[in-house]
Amino acid sequence: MKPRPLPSRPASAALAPGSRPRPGGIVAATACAVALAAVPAFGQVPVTLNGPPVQVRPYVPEPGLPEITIPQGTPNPFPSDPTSGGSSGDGSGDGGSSGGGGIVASSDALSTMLGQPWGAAAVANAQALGVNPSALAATCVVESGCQNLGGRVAQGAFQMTPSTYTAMINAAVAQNPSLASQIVPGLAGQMDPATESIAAAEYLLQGTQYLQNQGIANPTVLDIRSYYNFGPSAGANIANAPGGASMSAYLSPTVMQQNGITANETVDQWRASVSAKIGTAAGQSVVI
Amino acid sequence: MRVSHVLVVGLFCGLFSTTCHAQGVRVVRPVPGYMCMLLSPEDEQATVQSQLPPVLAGPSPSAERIGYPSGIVFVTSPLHQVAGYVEMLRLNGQTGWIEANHLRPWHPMNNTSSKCVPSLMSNGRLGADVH
Repeated sequence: MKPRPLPSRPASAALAPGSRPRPGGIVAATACAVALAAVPAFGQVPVTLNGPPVQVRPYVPEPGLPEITIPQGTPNPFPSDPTSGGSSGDGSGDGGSSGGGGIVASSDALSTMLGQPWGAAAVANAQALGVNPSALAATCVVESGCQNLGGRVAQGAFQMTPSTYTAMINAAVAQNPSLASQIVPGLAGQMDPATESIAAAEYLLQGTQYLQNQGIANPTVLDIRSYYNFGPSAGANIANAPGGASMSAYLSPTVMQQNGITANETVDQWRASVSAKIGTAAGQSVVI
Repeated sequence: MRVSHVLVVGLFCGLFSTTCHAQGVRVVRPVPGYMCMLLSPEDEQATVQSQLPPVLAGPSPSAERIGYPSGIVFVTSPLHQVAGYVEMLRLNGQTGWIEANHLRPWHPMNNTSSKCVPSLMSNGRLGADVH
């Protein structure tokens, strides 16, 4: 919000009733009024929230006190995406693999994730690992709609397999030991979305490093989707594939079927379908 | 020479990224002297990059590790094999070496008569043009 100056009163209004205005007093009062009008009031200086607000997360009930219900969700603290125009994804994608130039900002996906009770914690976890929170949010939106889902193999809001989850949570803690105090130990952590978000952020980080090593200087959220979805082997090939190529050229029929990709679907069509789900996050950088 | 072409197109896309971004990725031309191979089925199942065989700077296990391969590997044509390692071209234009026993001949995954051609893409990188 743009700061507004305090409304100034006429200098004569400051004089006591019946008193005669003196020339010097009028000049001084006018000078004060001009000064007040020129300088924004301290009380109206806008304050920008740096990161998500701290949330109280009670874990021990207080005897004698009624149960307190905390509203779910957290207001999105990030600035709006200046290139998004405020619209959701148009499904056109970005052609994939632009070679960099992605941005870090708010997104529709981030708003969805912050609408979950664990959303603010996930944002903090992503930032602790240097990952764009919108990239993490886009992952949960595509994988589960940011719902904590079970499954035969992949589980949780970020739909990770147990082996990948274990490898990534260990790697994340090794990279940032301060995260260790926030995780639910063992495989139970996979069904705790805040804990799984740590592993998912680490997976995005490693995927980014892999794609960077393949020559994609600044992978976008759309670039990293193929890595997250299909693993490193096919991930780089699809991120570098021409848009008109068929997805079946890079994926086995089994993987195609598991991911609901039709036989004739092109790379551009797949990118468009992903973009339609994650909206404005598609063109953003994966790492901060 | 091939690498320099990659760098020139890459520089162009870096300077005019909006153009490259908007037009999407398309095939510019084939890269001669290379052909496609596939990683072994076990390697294709990798879920993290550390499960992939390393790409080394030379045909020796003690050579520097310069990265990891993608599922489709561009190898020299004809095949250049030294001490159990095959010379390859990475997607960033860098040459490297990978253990031969991690590779198998390329075949279309969709059981068609498609061909795989290592190609220079409009974003300045290399990609597999399967058509």
